[in-house]
Parts: sequence; C-alpha cells; structure tokens
Amino acid sequence: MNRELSATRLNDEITQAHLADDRYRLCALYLQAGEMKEAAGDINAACFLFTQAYVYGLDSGNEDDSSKARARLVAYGRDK
Amino acid sequence: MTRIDSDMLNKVKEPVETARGLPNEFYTDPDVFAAERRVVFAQNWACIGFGKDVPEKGSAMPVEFLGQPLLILRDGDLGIKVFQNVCRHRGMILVDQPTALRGVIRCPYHSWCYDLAGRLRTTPHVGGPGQNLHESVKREELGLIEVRSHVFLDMIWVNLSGDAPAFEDYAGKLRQRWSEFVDQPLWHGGEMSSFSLDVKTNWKLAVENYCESYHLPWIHPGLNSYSRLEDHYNIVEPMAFSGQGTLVYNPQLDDSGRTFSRFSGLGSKWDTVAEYITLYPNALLGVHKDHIFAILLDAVAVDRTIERVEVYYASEEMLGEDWRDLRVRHAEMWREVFEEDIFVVEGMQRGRSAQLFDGGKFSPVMDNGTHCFHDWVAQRFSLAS
Repeated sequence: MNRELSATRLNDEITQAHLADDRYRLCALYLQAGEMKEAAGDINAACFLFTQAYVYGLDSGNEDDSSKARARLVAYGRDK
Repeated sequence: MTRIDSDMLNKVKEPVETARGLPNEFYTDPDVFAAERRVVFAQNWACIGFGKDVPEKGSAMPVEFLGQPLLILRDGDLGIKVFQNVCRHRGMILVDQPTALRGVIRCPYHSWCYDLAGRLRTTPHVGGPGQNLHESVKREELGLIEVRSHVFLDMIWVNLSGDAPAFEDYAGKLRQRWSEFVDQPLWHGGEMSSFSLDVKTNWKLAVENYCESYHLPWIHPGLNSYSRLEDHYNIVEPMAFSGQGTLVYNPQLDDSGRTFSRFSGLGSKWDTVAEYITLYPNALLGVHKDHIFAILLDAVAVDRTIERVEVYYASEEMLGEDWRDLRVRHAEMWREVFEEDIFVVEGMQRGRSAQLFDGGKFSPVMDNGTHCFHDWVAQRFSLAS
C-alpha cells in the first residue's frame, strides 16, 4: 500500500517536473523510480527509467544522479 | 549553372590598366550567386561568426551558412569547434537557438547525446526499451560531423569543402603583415560595440567599396577633415587580400582628449598608421593602435547582404563603466561611417541592372584593391571550370 502510494506520488512529481521542463529534477526522480522497479525485481522497467535518468542528467549537468543511473545501466549490460 | 564566359573572366584578370570589372550577372543572377557560393565560399575559407558569440564552455551558437545548418561550440578545453548541426540518427536539427549547454547536446527528437567534443555519449533505447546498446550502432563512428574551422582575430572561419590550403597558409601573408596584432588578446566592447546593417546589395560591392580610399573625400567628408586622400595608400596582395591604409590615424572621440589604451608591444609605425583590409572573401578588418573592428559579410541573397560589425579593444580596462560613454560614441562613429557607404553600395547594385554596363573601367592608381579582388573572384571561377 505504502509502495503504491509512493509510486503514485513519484509519478505525479515526474509529471510536474516535465511540465516545468526541470530536467535536473527529472534525473533525480527517474533514478528514484528506477530504484523502486529494481527493488521489485523488474529489471527491464528499471533500466528504462535509469536511461531516462541518465539522459536528463547528462542534459542538465546533474552529474551525481546521472553517474548513478549510468552505473546501474552498465551493471546490467545496457550501456557502457 | 549559368555558363561563365572564359573570355570575360580573362578580361577581368588583365592588368588593371586594361581590365574590366566583373560583369552584371555576378551581381544580379541567382544562378551565378549559387555557383559563387560553391566556388568562392565553400571551396575556400569563409567567415561565419565570432568567438565572442560563444564566450564560455558549453556556449552553442547555431548558424546557417550557404544553406547548411552549422553549430559553433566552445568545448571543454575552451577551444572552438564547428559541427554540422544535425543528429547522426535521423538528421534532426540539434540546437535551434543560442544556448548555454549545462551538459551534453541532446537531440530533441530521440535524445541521442553528444559531448562538447562531438562524441556520441549515449543512444537511449536504441536496442529496445532500457537497452542503450546495439551491435550495429557503433558510437565511435557516429560522432557529430566536424567542419574544418579556424579562429583568426576572433573571427570563426570554416572550409566546407575540406580541401582548401591550411588557414595558416591561406592567411599567412596577412598574419605576417599584422604580426603585431594577430596574437593579441582582444576585448569585445559589449552590446554597444556590436551592430548589424541590412543592405540591399551584393556582398562583393561591400568588399569593393571597402578596398579603396578613392571615395573617402566624397562619401566620408567627416573622415576627410583630418585624414585626407593623400594620407592614404593602397594595400594589394594578389590572390590573398586588399585594402587601404591611412598614415594619420589620430582619434578624437571627446573634448577631454581621452583615448583608448594601446595594444602592447606595437612598433612606432602604428602611432599614426591604421589599415583596412578585406581578407577574401567576406571579412572586412580594421586595425588601429587602440582597437580592432571586424565586419562579417553574410551574403544572404544575390542582392542582399547583412554586415555584422564587432569592435574590440586592447585591454579589459576599456570595458569598464568609466569607458562606457566613449565606447558608445566610438561605435556610433563607426556606424555613421558604415551607414554613409550604404547608398553607394545600394546604388551600384541598382546600376548592375543597366544592360550595357560592361563591368566598369578601373583607375590604375586608385582602384588597385578592387581590381585585386575581382581578379581573385575571376580566378576562383576559372579554377572551377
């Protein structure tokens, strides 16, 4: 229940960040969403979200979070 | 392509005493203009912008040159590179307005990302959702396509064809002539030192007018009050550049007698000498002991040219608030001079519709710079045919 609630809130925040074109924040939010999917064992969904985080991080200069997203993608053989 | 008569080109290339100028179609015919874009601009070095437009790491300036979308970029090592402004994936325009990039260049279509050196960093979902790799997509082969470029006196030059001589050779004689200036740090005067003129003329007429001092007493009587015709000399370097110089440069910008600081290390010659040279095809340059200006001619149509004027000073101190009023006055002075030339270059453009005009008769004494330029243009067409 808590996880579903949290996921709903995260989706809302992602929508808001898209509306605001806040790419730095999008990186952080997609990373968080990816980590949730990863914890749930859905690696494909997690890697989709890590990719979104990685790209928005590269674009906005959010180096910390984009590095984390990239590290997860590399670990799963999805990027280099 | 319109056929260019070789006899006519040979007539242009004759010595100044017997030569005729370029004929009307070089100024009025869209087909000749199209050919000129290839043989004069694309196959040589041409100026497309200024380093001041990309002042910091990550500054990106899109420009269109000869109908091609280009991207001027200041990379991580504070160098300037020029790329084709298109993604290697679907050919989407990457950057459509001047931008301060915080990270990579991200294609706005499918988000392929390039770093500031043009390397392809990532290809999101290229192998399916969440899979950013595919064996057929080799990132090392898919960086942005770089255009050969060089920065000279803060002007950014490109050679689209990629096979012109090295810029150091192309501009070697001018570098030598102005060796005391070319490696000096330049300080752009800011917003007030930057202006454009939109002129209804072929770009070559702006060059031709710039290359000679013959018109000064008639068109610029203000300048002539202290810099008379006899104080000027011709500058002619065949197949390279031409222009004119003055022996009595002595700026009086306000009643207090303030003058801008001088470039360091200049020889005494430059106490009173200033020179105005066109580095072919489209850069009009002026060097003085206390400032440099550069004019980029953007040949947007056969009968329309945008003149972009930028003024630079010799020290950072000249950019201060104390000097603001003088910089404003200085830019206005140059604007007045360049605006005085507009009716002339527009009048010559209208004159090129006179069917029986034969290219014109040069003065062997006063028009050497103009003839030198015509000779260069004719030579470009001869080499291409």
